[in-house]
Amino acid sequence: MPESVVGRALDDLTPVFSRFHTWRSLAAVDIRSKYRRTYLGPWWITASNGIFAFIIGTVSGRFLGSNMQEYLPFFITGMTIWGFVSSAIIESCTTLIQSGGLIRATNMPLVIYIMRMVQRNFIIFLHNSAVIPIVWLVYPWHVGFYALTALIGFFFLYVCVSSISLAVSIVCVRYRDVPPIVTALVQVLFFISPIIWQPSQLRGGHEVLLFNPIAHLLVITRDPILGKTVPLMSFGISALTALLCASVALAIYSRYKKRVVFWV
Amino acid sequence: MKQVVVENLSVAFPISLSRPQSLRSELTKKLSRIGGRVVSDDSHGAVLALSDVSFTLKPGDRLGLIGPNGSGKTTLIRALAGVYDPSAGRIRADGVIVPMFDIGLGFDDEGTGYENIYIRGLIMGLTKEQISKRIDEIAEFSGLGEYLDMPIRTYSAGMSLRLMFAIATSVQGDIILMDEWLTVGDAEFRQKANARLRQLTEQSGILVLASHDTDLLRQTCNVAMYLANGKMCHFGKVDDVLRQMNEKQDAN
Repeated sequence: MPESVVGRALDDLTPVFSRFHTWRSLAAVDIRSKYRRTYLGPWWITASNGIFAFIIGTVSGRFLGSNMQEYLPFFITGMTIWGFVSSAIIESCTTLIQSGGLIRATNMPLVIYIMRMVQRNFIIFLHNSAVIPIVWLVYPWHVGFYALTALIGFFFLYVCVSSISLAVSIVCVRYRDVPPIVTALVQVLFFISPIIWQPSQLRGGHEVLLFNPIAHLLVITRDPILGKTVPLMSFGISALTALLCASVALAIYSRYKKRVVFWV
Repeated sequence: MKQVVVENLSVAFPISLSRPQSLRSELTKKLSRIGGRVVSDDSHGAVLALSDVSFTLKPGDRLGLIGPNGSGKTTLIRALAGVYDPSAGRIRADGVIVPMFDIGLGFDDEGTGYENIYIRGLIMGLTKEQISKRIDEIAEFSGLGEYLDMPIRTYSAGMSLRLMFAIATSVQGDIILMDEWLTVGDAEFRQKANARLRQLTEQSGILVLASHDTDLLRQTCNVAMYLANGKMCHFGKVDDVLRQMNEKQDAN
């Protein structure tokens, strides 16, 4: 009965909402714990991203011969968003494996562990993104209310990242050879997505922009911030990607969540 | 009505997931001397940690689990807690289940005592408000005073245990699950802790306690189960089960 399968899968999703406070608070605790006894606290994240932006802006930009006024905002915004995507997905390989003890001792739903990790990386992303206004001060661009469209983009991005993380984490518990593969794949995605290169610099192979969902997710999150309008197609493809990722992840989760405790 | 009904419960652990065949058979041979029964077909091996266990606990029942290492005590406790999914049979538990084992997990060494009360509370499924309501009581019971403002990294082993105990026992429930009686701290605290555990287990409808300590089981429980190799050998009044167990051991 397909209906009951779907129903059960949706039931598995409820802890994400009913225990929202659990994973959100635990993520905040993780961040506080990581930067305990430091002066800047989580703002170290911002600072390191700022140093990175400064180096790219002053050194690499000249080597690349790009127009910094245009390139630096593009690069820093894209890199900051990508940081969230890559760190969450790479961390998801070990999230469940490292929580083995707790998984065997409590009946906290597994999805909470994943949401805690994704949210933690999202908080890091928020700190990182504080660099964007600083770059704006140096190389101002036009910002309007349209920038708020990015919020829709981040919603889709968040859904995609948490879904992929959920699926990856379960596969990684079962097959311990997968984590290095995931790391390699994430790196490939970085190079085929418009982060260090701008779409306008492409001389050929524009399929990379059309068929790469990451490229669309970047467009709907980054472009509004940079004051560019987003093609509707990118919203459509991003929404579809989010739906697809969530369905696949939920199917895997629903089917294997009871087995994970025996695998960790 | 608060009760626990377990029908034909079996829990199977998949083993040797990606090991070569020869190693697997070696392992299987070794495992069969203690622990559950090792079953294997062509593709998968599994340890049958519990097989075909059925029993019913009524309100007021305090069940003691006894048996050699690897007999399935912990597996049964974890299955009751909802950690392990039955591979066959079913468990019906009416009432709030309070797992009281592995109470030291999830703590953050760098965090203060207060922060850890909060973290552990969240993991146990409490909301911020519920934790705030309990925090004073937990702090007082732990007797740690101003140490609660210091990172638990600075605590002695006994002090951490006090905190873990105070948190774990701050929740009220109907069905308490314990893997070995919690013994913590110095003589004074141990007395206080024991009194609290007694009170908690008496208040709760049902207690399931796994232990090797027959005296403790006699004191605490009214019913007992003797497990061996994942099978329920005896179930009944605690004195009867312990006697039967002793007879069996003498016979060997």
